[in-house]
Amino acid sequence: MIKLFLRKLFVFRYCCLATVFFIAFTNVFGQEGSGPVEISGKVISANQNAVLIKGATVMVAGTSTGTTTNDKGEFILRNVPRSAILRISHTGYLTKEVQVTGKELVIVLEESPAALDEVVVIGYGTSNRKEFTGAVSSVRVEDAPIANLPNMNPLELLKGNVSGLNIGATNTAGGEPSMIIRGQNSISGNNNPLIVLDGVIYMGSLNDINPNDIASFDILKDAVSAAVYGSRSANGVIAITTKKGKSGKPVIELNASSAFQRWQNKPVMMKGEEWIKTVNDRNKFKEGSTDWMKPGELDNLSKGKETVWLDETTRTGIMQDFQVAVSGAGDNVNYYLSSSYNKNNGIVKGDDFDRISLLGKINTKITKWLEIGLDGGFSKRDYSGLPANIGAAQLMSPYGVMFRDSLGNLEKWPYTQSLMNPLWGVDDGTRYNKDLRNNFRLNSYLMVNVPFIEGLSYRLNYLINQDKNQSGNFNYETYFVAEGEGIARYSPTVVQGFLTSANGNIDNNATFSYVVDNILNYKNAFGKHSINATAVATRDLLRYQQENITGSDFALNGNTILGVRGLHKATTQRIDLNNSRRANIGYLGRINYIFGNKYFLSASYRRDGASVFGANTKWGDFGAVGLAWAVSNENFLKGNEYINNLKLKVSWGQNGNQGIEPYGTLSAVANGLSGGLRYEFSNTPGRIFYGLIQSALGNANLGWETTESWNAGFEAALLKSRLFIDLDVYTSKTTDQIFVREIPVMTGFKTIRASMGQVDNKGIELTLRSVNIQKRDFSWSSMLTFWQNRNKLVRLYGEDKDGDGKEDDDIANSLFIGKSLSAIYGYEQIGIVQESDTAYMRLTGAEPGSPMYKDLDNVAGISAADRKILGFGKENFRLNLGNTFTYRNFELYALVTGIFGGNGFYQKPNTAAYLTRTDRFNDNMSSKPYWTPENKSSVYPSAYYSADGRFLGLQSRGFVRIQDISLSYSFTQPWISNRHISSLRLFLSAKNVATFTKWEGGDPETGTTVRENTFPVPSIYSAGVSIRF
Amino acid sequence: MKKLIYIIPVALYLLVSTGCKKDKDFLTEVPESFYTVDNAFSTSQQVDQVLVSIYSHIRDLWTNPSETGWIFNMRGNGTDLFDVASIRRGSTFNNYGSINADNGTFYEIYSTWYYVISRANLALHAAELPQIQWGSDAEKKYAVAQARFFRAFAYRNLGELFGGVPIVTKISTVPQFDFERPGRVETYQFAIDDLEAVENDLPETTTAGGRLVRAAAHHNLCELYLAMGIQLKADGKDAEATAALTKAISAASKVIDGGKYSLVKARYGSRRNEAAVSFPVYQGGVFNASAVVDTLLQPTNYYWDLFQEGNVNYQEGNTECIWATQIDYAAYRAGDSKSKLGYTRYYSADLRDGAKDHLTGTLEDVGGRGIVQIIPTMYVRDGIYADKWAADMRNSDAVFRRRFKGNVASSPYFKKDVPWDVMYNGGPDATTNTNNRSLCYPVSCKIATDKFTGIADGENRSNLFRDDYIIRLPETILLRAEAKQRNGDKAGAAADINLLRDRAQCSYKVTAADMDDAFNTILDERARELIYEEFRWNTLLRMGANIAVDRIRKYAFWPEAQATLTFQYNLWPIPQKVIETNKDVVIKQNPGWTNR
Repeated sequence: MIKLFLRKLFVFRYCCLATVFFIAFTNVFGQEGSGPVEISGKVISANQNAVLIKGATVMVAGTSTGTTTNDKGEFILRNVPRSAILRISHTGYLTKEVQVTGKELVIVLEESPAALDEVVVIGYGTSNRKEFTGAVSSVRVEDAPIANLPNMNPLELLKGNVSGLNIGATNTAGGEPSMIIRGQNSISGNNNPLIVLDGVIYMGSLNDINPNDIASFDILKDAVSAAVYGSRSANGVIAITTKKGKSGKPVIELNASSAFQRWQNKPVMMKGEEWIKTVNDRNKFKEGSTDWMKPGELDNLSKGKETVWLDETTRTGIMQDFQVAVSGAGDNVNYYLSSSYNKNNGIVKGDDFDRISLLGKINTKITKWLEIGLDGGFSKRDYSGLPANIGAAQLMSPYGVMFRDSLGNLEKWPYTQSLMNPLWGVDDGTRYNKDLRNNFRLNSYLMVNVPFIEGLSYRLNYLINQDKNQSGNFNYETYFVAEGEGIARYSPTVVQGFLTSANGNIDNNATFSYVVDNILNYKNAFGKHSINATAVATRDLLRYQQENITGSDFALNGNTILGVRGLHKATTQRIDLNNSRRANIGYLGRINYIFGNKYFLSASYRRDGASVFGANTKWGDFGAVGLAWAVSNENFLKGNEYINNLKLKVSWGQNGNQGIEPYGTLSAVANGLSGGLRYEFSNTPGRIFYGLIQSALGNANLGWETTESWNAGFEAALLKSRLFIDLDVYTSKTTDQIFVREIPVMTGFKTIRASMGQVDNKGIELTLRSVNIQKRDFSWSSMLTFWQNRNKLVRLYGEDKDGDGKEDDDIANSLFIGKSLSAIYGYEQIGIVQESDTAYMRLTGAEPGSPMYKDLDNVAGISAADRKILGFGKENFRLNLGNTFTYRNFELYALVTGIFGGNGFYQKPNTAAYLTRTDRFNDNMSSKPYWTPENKSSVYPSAYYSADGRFLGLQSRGFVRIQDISLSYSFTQPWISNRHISSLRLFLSAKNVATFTKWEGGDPETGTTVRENTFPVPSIYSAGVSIRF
Repeated sequence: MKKLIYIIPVALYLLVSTGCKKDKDFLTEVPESFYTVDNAFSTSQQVDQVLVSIYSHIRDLWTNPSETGWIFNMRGNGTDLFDVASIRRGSTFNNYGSINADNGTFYEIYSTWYYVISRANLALHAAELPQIQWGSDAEKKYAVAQARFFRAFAYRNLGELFGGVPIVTKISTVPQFDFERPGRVETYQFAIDDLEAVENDLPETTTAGGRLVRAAAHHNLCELYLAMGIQLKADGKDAEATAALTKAISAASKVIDGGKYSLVKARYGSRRNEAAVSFPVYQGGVFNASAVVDTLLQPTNYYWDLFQEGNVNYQEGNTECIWATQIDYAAYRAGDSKSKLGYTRYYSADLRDGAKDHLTGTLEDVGGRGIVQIIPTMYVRDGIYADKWAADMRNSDAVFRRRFKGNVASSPYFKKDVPWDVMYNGGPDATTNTNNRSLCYPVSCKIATDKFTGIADGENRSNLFRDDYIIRLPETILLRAEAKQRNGDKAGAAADINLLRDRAQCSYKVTAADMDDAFNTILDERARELIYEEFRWNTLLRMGANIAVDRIRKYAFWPEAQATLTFQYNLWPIPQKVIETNKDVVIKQNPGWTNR
């Protein structure tokens, strides 16, 4: 309680301090403004006729104060802060921001080629979206409704917003979701996209980047976009751009939100009476017998006292998010400083996380030709503490004993099984856990615009990233209390005996990485020709060092008062060291050529070397070419009323993937103390001899996984720029995929890392955006994204041993020629064996109530020949729909996401959804109408049936989810500006509001099966405020 | 702001300093904190470390320190000797509805022996590396002999369980998918050749308890020739079978009559002066002096001596120990957590649940903290000691403890022996009684003790800390008896059996007439002598014919075995995964397992 209070006090003080600091800071830079003013003006078009624009929206930037122009293109705004910035927008024109300089303004809007005016990050530089030939999706975060959502990790901002990008669910405090672009490219290698942070490859954790500091994302999906990153580009690239200062008055921004988390659809285990009946049924015990229960359980039974263990181990989660940022820009200097604090106490007791992060960015033009910039970031993440065991909570006897005494002290062993109380060690002082992760990063650059050659510039990037993680565990002697009956097990004299077992460890690990980019760029235009050429030489290095110190047996020391800091007092001590190094070199050339603003070409070539591959396979070459045609810039479409923009594009390229970790090609040996193989001989009592084994079969020929792909698509703005369509289709072919292959164990090894023939991917990605209604007070816009990826195994080892003219499948590895990866191969279940199925029972030995399998080979009996492909683990397609409504000062955003199965796709075994029997005779289970001679179920096996390795219980994971809802209100009333507040916004938001699925157990997206020990994906409800001064 | 100016030279310096390395050097991988096969071997000590890893591996297979399900199955679960308790029927290995080539147990056992083979081959490879300097020729010969022994040992196990299996004599550097499956006889012959090549390089005795000696090779040669003889006979090659069986007899005789080994027939070792073992009766199962209300005295004997801590190794005066796996409590405390015998925990009875009205707790008086992972069948606890077979030292109170005094105050048997009829049939109904019978059974002195080590250190009567036999002379004698009988010498076989029965002071001695053609007498005697020691699956499958299937149907504790074992087999199935991964050559499935 006191701890909690102190923690809260700390947060409060932290915020106060940060606020004071930033306010003081801005007073140095800031200019005094006085009261609000009334502004009037008119908006005209930039074309020759300078037409007056009616219906243009004029907003005070960062607020929802605004108006629209009248028939004469005029507007009046009252109560506008003296130094406010106005943002003027109208469909078909580029949005413009102007500083309020006087009381009468004339604003000239440029015609827009339909909202395709953004700058996109393309790797070692930027491009104008309309000139780019690849498939890039951009997500603006700054001031967008998704920024209101309670997101702890940057990736969560992207969920459902980018076609072709799969972001997984987050289910732990401070956890990181999975991410995959355009399907699975590598079977066992890394499928994570490359992260590029402010233009430089980022090898740290995304959890060290505060979502509030992000301005935008660019997701590079196709070959030509990503190929500039060569060896690490096959999984796509996510480029993150952080916020920076905007010209004008310095801005102080405060963001705060609080949220709570709930476990939606928490599993319900059997209640007491049903559990007793089931235990008797599944063990063929006498009906109604309870003599297998422990005295404590019988006592609870007689008192009618039941424990719902899942309730006891979970709570309402809390999330808090505070951020203060200061930014500004002048003619030569631009700065952005941000400081934030996040906290999350997850749904499962003990699952706690907090993070402090600081970011400072500054760049300056020193002379006309020299610019330098420096970003520094620090973040400290704290995952300390041990969460409750929700797996055990789902197994516990409902009559299990929670407390050993009347003082509320926990009983370690609640029932007859050797299963610990799920709360044991969480908060009772028997264990200690620390987990701190510190990150420092420094990203600096220097840019020289070579003075004598127009358009030639040189840029040097140098990024260093250092993670210093410290974790530690300690199990006190009190942790080891023995099973059995009676309070005597907890007496100090008995517990003291466990000093021999008391143990702990300290783990210090550090990751240091750097990236150096040398970028030479030449950009110029000659008449209708325009050229942008880039040459890059880059190197990066990642070095990991781990020191793990363990100590156990404190009997001779006498106590464990020093806890983890007394490891050096332990009788048995040990150090384990683990170092690794990974290095890459790249040389890149790229040229972008534009003719007449209609035809666009980009081509690149990269040569890459990586340390992780065998000596003969370290280098790879990757090329790409892309073409685009801006059809709407042709005379025959210019000024067309319906087609406002149309760009066709096609690209080809090669991308690589590093499918293995460092040293993955080597035949490693396990030996010495850390090797884990020990033995003794009687003539040397107490002396431990260490064994030596080869722990992996190396493969020196492992090289690049190469993906060659085609992309074709178009971008269009239609119907007076009310409807935007982006469509991409792609095919790709990946060769030499690295995967863990099962091999004959007669070699002494069950598996080897091997490379394999060819996998083809094809897919379609569609993004539709529409402005459905645009009125002065009310607007409604929608975005629909759809994507589908299919892969097909084309070639494996190129062998046809069975002589059927087709290449052989590799059944042992579930790899089938012509089929998708992740095939589920097994026995097709056709219901349940009934008492009348005597022939089947005679042939198979199955009992009534067992699953029945289909005999496919027409040879009597069920054998390996009766297997077939039952389905695939991969999804079929994804479909997401987002809607944004604004009404006066309100803005409502809602996103519905869905992952769909069908045609056998998105299946997963979920045996516990059907079984009642478990490994232990009296575990709890979810309730189900299992087969009995009276209830002849054709779905659920009998309670007595125990799984036979053939039973899969396949279920579809398809679902539709109300993913995000956000409602915000912006204050525009006069009292706001009277208090020097340039904007004030309140918002309510919710994530993961409801899920519709047939999948049983946990979350379908995480694929959590019934009774699995996986943390739930929470539903989050949040309220927050955002203020700018 | 001006400070930024200084960063430029610093950044440039870093660039220059890191940019110096040549591309090739920059990309070269040098593991810093672990070894690879290329640099692991520089001394003969490291060749021995490979052998140590095999000793350690074999200890895992015998003592099952991690309570792995498939090792329980390998140790005899599902045979005529062992089954699972009522509370563990999910881990049955007797329900043939789920025992087929896909069953993970077969793949794990098949794999574990190939791990031994590949490590033995690694040791043989390393022993010949040019950089290895040996202290003496004998040192190298002993290393090679141990490696080839282990390889032969693995092939014997594989041959007995699965029939013929691919012969691998070199370490693998690249995967191979075309292993050929030779016949069972060839597999045995390969193992025999290995052993015969090195038998003289193995010392007769060692100072290091646990290291291999020559008699271990002879014992295995006996078993291999016997197994080969059985297979040859089954193949109709009678003359060759006789020759093999004769060699089996002579290999065993080298051990039995060689003068180094003899059956223990007198008290010896650490507890030879204790006339009786005394179990305190703890009222309510509570461990303190005031709870001790009575004691149970059981007279000890020399057979009991064989299983006491400090008495197992040959070096400790035990003349029947040929090879024992080593357990060392000091090493256990110092970090070798696998140096323990978890037998009390996973083999001992659960009287506190099966006879809870009379017996409670987990202390010495109820046989320690048993959790009944596998249980002896009625055959092995009672059947083999019925009637004229009852008078037997191996059935004495101290050795096969059947007496437990009630420690529950409300029980009519408080401080009195709880009768077995009460434990077996005291429940309200037949189902409960069957369940209780699976939890209550006599506790062998091989799996529990009156003096548990490490109680003061927090040990909880789960583990024993004595060495454990891998080969004990009586098994050599039983192998020779079987070889004699199969060679037509039933009287000789009976005489061998009586060596053990004399030693165990049995009142009934067998005769040639007892030596039935289904080998029941030998199998019964093996159960009496070698319970918790023998690898019963190896014995049953080695014997061929319908012996395994018939006995499982007859003696399994639960009815599923009989109901579901509707087919014949005398070899385990080749694991489906082995067939599938060896994709370039078809490995034929064993009889009985196709279409299952």
